[in-house]
Amino acid sequence: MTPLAPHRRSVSGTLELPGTLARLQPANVIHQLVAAAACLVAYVALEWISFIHEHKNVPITPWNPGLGVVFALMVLGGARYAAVLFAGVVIAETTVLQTSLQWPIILGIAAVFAVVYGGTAVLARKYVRLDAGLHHLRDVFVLLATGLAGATLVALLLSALLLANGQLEWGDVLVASLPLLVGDVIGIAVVTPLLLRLIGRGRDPPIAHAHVRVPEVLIYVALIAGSLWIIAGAGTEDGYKFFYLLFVPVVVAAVRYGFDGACVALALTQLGLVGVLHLFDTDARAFTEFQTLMLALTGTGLIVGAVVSERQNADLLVRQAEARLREKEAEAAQAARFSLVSGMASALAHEINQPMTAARALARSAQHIVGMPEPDLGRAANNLTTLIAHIDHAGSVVSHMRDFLRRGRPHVSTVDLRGLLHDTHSLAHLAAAAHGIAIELDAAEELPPVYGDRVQLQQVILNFVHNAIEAITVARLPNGLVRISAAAFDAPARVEIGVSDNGPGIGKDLADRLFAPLTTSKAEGLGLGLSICAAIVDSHGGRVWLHSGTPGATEFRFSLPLNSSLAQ
Amino acid sequence: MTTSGPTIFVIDDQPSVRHALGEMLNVFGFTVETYESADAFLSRLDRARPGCVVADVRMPGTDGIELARELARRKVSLPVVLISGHADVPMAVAAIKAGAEDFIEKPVDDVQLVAAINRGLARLFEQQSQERSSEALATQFARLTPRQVEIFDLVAAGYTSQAIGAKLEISTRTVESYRAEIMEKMQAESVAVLVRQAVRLGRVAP
Repeated sequence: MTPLAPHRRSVSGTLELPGTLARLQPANVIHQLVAAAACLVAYVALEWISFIHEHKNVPITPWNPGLGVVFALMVLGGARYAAVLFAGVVIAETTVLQTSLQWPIILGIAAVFAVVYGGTAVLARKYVRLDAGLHHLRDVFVLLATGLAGATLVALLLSALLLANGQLEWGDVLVASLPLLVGDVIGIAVVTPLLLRLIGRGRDPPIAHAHVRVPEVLIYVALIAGSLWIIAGAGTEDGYKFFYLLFVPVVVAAVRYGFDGACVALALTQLGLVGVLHLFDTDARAFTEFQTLMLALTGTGLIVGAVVSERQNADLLVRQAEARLREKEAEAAQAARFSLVSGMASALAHEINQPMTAARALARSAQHIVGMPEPDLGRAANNLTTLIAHIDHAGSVVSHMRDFLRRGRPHVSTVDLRGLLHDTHSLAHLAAAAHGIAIELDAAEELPPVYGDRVQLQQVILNFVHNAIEAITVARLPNGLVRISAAAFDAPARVEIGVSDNGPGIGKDLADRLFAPLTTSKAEGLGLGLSICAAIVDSHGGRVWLHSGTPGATEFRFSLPLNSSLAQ
Repeated sequence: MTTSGPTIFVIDDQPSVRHALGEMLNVFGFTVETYESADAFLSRLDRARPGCVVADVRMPGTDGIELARELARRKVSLPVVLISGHADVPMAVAAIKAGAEDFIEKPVDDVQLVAAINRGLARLFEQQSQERSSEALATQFARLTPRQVEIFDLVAAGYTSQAIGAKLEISTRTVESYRAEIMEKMQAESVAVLVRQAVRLGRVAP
């Protein structure tokens, strides 16, 4: 068991005093009193219902559900609710049990209960860091161990008290204290988790509650009832032989519905069992034996339920994390596109500025010539012709860019690779020239056409070029050179397109996880560019890889299959 | 020293821009040479030729700002006008720090460009004429005899002819005749001019 304390808080959120009890802070005295009063009434009522036997004036009911209720309250609200237990024991002794014990003894018994359970509850909560939401197996163990320790101590102290007062003889100690011990432990084991879960439920993530199917629940109820009927039918002597039948519905409910399922199934089983035993007027010894078996069932059910819940929660967290990652990826794809576009926009401004500069200078010189006393009109006409060519060039830059920015669903068509590479080269040239980096295109003369989305493929190449330029620029390397290359290969028939640069290279550690999302070497990078590239290439039936990470000769490549069956 | 007119050296890696700017400046009456890179310009640099550099900031190889620094390091006093399509404040600051005459954004405003070129050329000529007169002065001073130099320093230091005569134990008349020879060799019309010359030659503190 490894306590997961630091993570637990952020994961489940049910750790503070859950539900209504969470508001039981000193400022809210009325709420506290109401809760205490309700708890007291519940305790006394449950004592009254569960009271069956008394051995020599000592109540030896081997089932103490009231204690489970008050213990839950003490776990949630702290030691001050020990007062409720004290009052509850006193009232139950005097009214329900109509005990013949004297007042000092009654008060002593109540004090033992209140102090021991109050102390163990606080100990568990504060020092063992019991999570009241019982989200982990560890918390279930802590709760059971706490209950067992408290019950053992109470049994010892009560025996001592009664022995000292002559209410109990040495020979009766075991007879009287064992049912007490079993009853207290099982009260805490069955009722406390159920209550803690009921109160804490509102704070759990919604998916944690599996959808409950009514027919299925009815089957469990029927199975429990049927098992109890068989046990009852076999009589008190042989009934315990069939007790194992009860494990089936409890364990199945725990597997299906986790810890909550186990709690409910166990509560049902316990109620049914007590009812059946009561009906057949089972004696205290047999009752205690059945309750001991019930205790084993409870432990099993709770542990199975906790393990299942833990796994369900972990699955849920993984699914949520995956969903968040997908969301982030989509956002980042947009962001990456935007950053590509904004980089392009800056390059575009540069590329338009050049012909504008030339055009303006030529216009001014033509104007100047015309204003001369003996104008050389041929020269002015020449200037105007060149000027128009520059303006046309600026126009073509804009239309190229518009093609590139065309956003929308993938537009799949036969792509002329050479044309694509030339266009990409001229687009990339803008960005490269702005950084004083040379860019070369080295494409085979004959390249077969591929089938795919022209804009997406261009985005992949431009992304590689962009990365290369950035790597060279950041490393402040002189004579930066980026080369785009393409060639066709056989077996399998494919085209490989590569972007290489003479930048600083890519380290081994980074190379291994390059194409995973959120991997980046850039200070402000999102680390999604390459994963998007990989996704695009993948959707084209190709693959992308780091061909060489050597400094001075870094190359990314991707392949596109020829004759691919992508033409759906 | 050659006294040919100034040349405008237009340096831009974009052929369209350098040809158009060259054509415009040529039409405006300047003698223009164009270079496709700062390195090409530096390799053919003739420091004796007066002129003005008009260079793009962003170019492969040596960029415009580097070029301005390089010229300063080589003690070439050509004025540099930088032009850029990516103008921003840090770049402008770097350009001026590197000693550029002006920093002009593309598309280039020709009025601003011509004004910057003219300002640079004026500064260049002013500097050159000063250099020339310093050289002439040094030549004149070198023609003085040691005795004349001694008396030159004393005159520049404010001694009267009598005081100089007393100090050097020669007659005032002899001092007067030395003074006349010195003034003639130094082409100084008055003692005030002589003192200014002494300051420029570093013989006395101004």
